[in-house]
Amino acid sequence: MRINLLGAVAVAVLLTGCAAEARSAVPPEPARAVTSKIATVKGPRITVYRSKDGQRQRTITSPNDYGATRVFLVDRDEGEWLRVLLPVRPNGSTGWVKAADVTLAETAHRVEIDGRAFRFTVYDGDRTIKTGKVATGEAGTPTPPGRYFFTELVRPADPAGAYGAYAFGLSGYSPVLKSFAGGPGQLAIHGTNKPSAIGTRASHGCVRVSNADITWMAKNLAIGTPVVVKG
Amino acid sequence: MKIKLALVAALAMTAGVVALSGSALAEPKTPSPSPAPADQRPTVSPSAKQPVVIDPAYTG
Repeated sequence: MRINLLGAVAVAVLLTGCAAEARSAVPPEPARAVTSKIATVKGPRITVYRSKDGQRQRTITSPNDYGATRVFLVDRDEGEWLRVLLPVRPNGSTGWVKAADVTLAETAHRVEIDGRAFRFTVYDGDRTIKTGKVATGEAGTPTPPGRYFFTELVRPADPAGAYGAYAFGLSGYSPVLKSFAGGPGQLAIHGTNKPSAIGTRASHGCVRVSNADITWMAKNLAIGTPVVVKG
Repeated sequence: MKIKLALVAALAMTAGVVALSGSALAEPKTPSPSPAPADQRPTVSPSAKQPVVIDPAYTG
């Protein structure tokens, strides 16, 4: 009888083991590619809503003040409605747009700025494809941490000037400067004519990179590419 | 008799564990929002943009 009891326990252990094996045999979810959706405004203006119930928030024109077709970084895709990051103050503002008013595209690229390490990293999905050094805002005019996107690409008329070879406008603004050089205090990532300042806090809020690095970005990154600034 | 009862209890417990495992496996997963098929989603082309030549007014 003792043998029978031991046998029963052995069968029980075996059956339980089979169940656990069956559970672990479920194929894992495939790894998802890290992509972002970019919404490009179709017409000369777009209505932005506070919520999906149709309460209007504002109207935004396209092209923007630099003549670039208006784009938004999509924060949430709910089919007929998209919650988008807006290029307005305060930084991080969002609103809802109708999917029918935009065309959607995707990018696997994103830029991260590490303000403490004075470094930028460009990713293609999970893969690092470019790194380099940056200069950030001085203590009195800091580069604000946050999630932004490229709003336009500018080639300065004077490539030997302070903005260097190219400048990507960002969707965020200086928390200190309400206006600067005739503009609204908009942030950007741009080249420089003072490469010795890269690796320091030197700007009025913009992120400066070498002219070689901004030229690489201009060739390889699209308007709408997400940019995360970490403090 | 006690041994028989223990044997029946052990088998019943095993059957319960297996049944529970089965129901957990069969539990439907919440469908994640499925994006459109990859071939229907255009990828933004970095080369499609034309830089605007202008004196910018960023915060420098």
